[in-house]
Amino acid sequence: MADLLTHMSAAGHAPTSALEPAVEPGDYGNLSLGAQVALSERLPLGIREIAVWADGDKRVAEVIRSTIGLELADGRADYGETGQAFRCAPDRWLVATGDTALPEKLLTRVGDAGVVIDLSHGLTAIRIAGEKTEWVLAKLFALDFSEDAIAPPAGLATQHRAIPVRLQRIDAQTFDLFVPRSWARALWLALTTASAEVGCRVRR
Amino acid sequence: MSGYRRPTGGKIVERGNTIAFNFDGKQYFGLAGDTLAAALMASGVMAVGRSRRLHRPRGIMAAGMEEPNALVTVIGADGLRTPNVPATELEIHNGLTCESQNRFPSLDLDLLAASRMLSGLVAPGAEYRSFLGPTFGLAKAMRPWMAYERQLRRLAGLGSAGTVPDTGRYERAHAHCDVLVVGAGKPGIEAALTAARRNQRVIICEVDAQIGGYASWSGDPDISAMITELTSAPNVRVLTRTTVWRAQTGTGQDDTAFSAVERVSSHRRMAEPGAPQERHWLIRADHVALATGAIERPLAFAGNDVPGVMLASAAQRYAGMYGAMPGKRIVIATNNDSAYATAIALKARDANIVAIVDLRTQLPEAAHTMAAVAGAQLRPGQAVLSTSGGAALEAVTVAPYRLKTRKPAGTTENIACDCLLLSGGWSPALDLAVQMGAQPVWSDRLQAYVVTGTQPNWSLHGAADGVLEFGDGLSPVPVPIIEVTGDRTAFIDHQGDLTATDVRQATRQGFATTGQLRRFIGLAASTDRGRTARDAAQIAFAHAGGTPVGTSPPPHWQTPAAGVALGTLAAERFGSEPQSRLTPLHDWHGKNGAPMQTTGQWRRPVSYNRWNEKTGPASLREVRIARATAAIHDASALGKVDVRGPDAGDLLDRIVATRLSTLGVGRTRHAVMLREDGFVLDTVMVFRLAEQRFMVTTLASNADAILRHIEFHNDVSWPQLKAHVTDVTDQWATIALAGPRSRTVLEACVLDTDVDGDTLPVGSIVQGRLADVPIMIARVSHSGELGFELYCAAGYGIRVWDAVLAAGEPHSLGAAGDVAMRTLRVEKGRLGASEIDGRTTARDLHLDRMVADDKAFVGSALMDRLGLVQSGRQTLVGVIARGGETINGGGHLIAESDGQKPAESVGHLTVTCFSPHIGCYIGLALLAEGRTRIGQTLHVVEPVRSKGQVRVEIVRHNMVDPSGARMHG
Repeated sequence: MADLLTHMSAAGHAPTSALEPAVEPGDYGNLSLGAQVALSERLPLGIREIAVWADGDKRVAEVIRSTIGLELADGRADYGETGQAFRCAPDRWLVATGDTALPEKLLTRVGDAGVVIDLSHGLTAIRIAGEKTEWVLAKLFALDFSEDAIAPPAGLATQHRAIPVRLQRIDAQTFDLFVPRSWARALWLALTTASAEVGCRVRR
Repeated sequence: MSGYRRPTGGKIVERGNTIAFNFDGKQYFGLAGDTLAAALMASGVMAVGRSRRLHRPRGIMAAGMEEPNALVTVIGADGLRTPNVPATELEIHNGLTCESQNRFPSLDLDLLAASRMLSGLVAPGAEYRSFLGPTFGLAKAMRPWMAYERQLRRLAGLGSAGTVPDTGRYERAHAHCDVLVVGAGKPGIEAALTAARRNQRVIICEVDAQIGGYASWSGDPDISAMITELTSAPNVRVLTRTTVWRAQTGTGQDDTAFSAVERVSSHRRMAEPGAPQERHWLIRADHVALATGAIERPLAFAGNDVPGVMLASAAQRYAGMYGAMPGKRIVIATNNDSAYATAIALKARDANIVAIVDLRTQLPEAAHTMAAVAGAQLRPGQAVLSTSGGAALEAVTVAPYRLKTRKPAGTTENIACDCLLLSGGWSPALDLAVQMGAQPVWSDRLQAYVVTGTQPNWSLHGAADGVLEFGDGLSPVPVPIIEVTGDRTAFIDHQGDLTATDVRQATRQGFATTGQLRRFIGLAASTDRGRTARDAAQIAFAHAGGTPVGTSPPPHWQTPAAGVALGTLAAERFGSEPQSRLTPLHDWHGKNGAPMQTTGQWRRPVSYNRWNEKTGPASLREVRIARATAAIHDASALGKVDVRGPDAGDLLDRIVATRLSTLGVGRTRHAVMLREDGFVLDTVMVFRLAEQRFMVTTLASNADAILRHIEFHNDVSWPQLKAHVTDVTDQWATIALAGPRSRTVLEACVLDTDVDGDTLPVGSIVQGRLADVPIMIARVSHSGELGFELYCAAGYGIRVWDAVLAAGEPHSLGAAGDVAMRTLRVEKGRLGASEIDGRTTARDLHLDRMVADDKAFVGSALMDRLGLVQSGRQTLVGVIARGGETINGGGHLIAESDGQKPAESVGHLTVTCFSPHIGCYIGLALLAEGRTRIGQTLHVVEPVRSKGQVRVEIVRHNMVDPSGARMHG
């Protein structure tokens, strides 16, 4: 019997964002120097977590390369137009792509190298960009956000209070935050509150 | 009125930018950049507060965070009171309102000053001690101290906080750097520049609004260029108005952290948009350079606390930074050279320095020269013995003084003055160094504690390292004397209102260290952290015991090194919007009249109240709907753990007491998990979704614990098993449907599958489609009714929910909140966290039939130990109060009581509710020998809530449909 709880996308219907109705486009906070950070939700996004077996790491990295075109030669992370991937735990990759067909290819090609877990609905992806991004994130996470410590496109798993967050640095001033759906609005509120001091632009 | 503002000068004030503020109900004017202390001084205000214990009028003593006297309460526009704010650190702004402390009814007329009359009778620190007397005769029986102790306690302490909630926002921030520099005086800036030039990342923290410190207000010619280089360096972050108050030590950056408070908006009338009131920094640094400076000490003589007496360096700072002069006739009393630099600096600002009274007889030539330049009469070998004046200094009495005998040796002379500047030597500020693990040693040279030697990850710089430079060959080395005259008003700890005489008295009482004095009489233990008092107290203590100063244990440097607001510590952990998890259906609940409550991490709907309906009636209505027709419930908060891999079944067999490897694909099984010690961890519902894939669902309240338990054993106990564990709680929306018509509702909306009893029997799973959304339907019931759980991708949860509601409208389908679901579970005897309380076994909860006896699993080794199987254990039963009375969870079960003698408790109610099905209050209980008491009558007592007893009938825990006929539909 086939897997009973998978392939759950509903053709023709867009899923409801976890951030609705918290996302209200506009500029907020101290705009004396303009909006120095921008917040937006990345939609739609197919998100998969690939948990690899002890001997499957290289094979999974090769599958990600051949399927999504991401080079994971250093075993760490990559970001490109077709998607993004980074190691979020010692035995796990987080892979995200805007092409809804790619995750199914992943499932097939990973085979017995690991297991592919669909988290497209379970994780909400928030992008924060702007010259004060490091400043805002430093209010939420006990991490060194300098480029020496987290160079693009590195990713890692961390926590803001009780909220587990996986994040990836896209470029010097841009991060993608992957947060469990149930926590998404709480993190959004924390981000908008922390951003207000430097001016925040909310984009849909 | 003695202090005044010079028409020019003042390095940081903005001439022409006048600020109006209010102190003790009177309006004053200052300049932008002023601290409250500077503005009051410039306005000629002498007395700014009353002392803590003796209620003596006090003026401004210092110019920084060491200020012991000038503490004020700031009153916000909304009435919020912030007490004990040093006026020396409070920057004025338009509309600032503050008041003096420790006085009633006013600063000028303080009735509490009457306590001075008792000062000779009551030992210092008495207000903190226990009151047990009088203990004889009638007084003993009346226990009068119960009344007066409370009043005396109210006299203790400093300012008082109000009752207005603090609505200010406080936030946290993290920072990492190679070098953290604490203190932005010249040595700190030098250390920061050295690191910055090596391309290291530098953070430099300064407690004041400006950097530069002493070098800045003393006119050091190099400091401006250094500040320019520092502030323009891209790898340097300058944090002004920031106090580093704690150091946590370790061997690397991860272990070495510093806590600092940045006062972001305290100096503003209103915070800028988005800005917090204060920001609490946690700074991790590879190396910390402590350039925290040194604190000048006062000298002790009779009346050394009269308003108008202050530290010499403070006067220099007020004059240099703010253009505020402390008096019109100034006398300087000193035991070292540094005061001469002050005299020159003040003279340069046209101060009238009447005399310099120096305890030393042999003075360097520079002192004579500088005294002459300052136009001051130099009095070597003399001392200020006392002051005169009540609320303002009027004159000082000086006399020749013999250091050997520590006594005056000649005729006294009065010098009229309105300002007396003291310089009793310098104490390096070692608070953070001590927190870093430094062991201070006594320096006979400086008459202060110093730190020798440094560690690889921290270093001392400048005055903090004992390097005090005042130029012109001046030496900071004092003659070893602090207490010039022993007197009840010769204070060594101004904020603690303590004199050397008090120290001697405490020593006679048996206090053996300054640490004990700190605890029992409050010596150097106030909000100023004893900065001006610590070393003087150590000297006084050593003299009282007749021992050399350095031989007694060093004093205590307290943490925090400075006062920290509780709001800053709590930061965003508290507030109007606590962080909670929201289900995919959260917004629907709010739109449909559901009051929400936080359950664990989740926001949950309590009930769906119609019109003005209350939760109680609404919940009963929802229960009746579930029993009569059909109810829909948002069960998305259920924990969902995905277990996959070839060994997934084997892993679960080892962790769960119920055998699961034999569970067929497309089937579900109710299972029990034990802790390692054999007690029940929780019950779970396990779904087998594929040959190598299981999903374990748990109650929301225990989901994290279950996930951790499974992950731990997968990663640690059996890492050789090929199984991956993932939390997929947020991926799926879960919609529970229960009630006799629930199948009919599903049949009306589900496509691609049948949901009849043959296709979907109890414990089975099918896939289908609903509103174009693929769903999984499981035939499980938590309520005891015919029940289903619908799983769909969370993003489509609201779409499926709406479709089911629409399909159910003709069948009287209604939504049920958490209270209704709790009632349903109690009626059915389902377990919750109150029954699985960590002390119950599978047998106690009638779960033993779910425990496999042919395999080993977590908890199996200890579940049959004697204590867990012996008779007399409490087991789960149902309780019915047929008399119509209310019973509450927590009530005790007793056999019967005559009302006189307490009866023995034989159990307790774990949960209760009103059951619309039975028509009275029911509950679940853990009852000793519960199995054998079925049918008996017991009584519920709640000594805390009431004295009455409620007669209850003991029944089986499954009180509704015990045969399961409804569930099997």
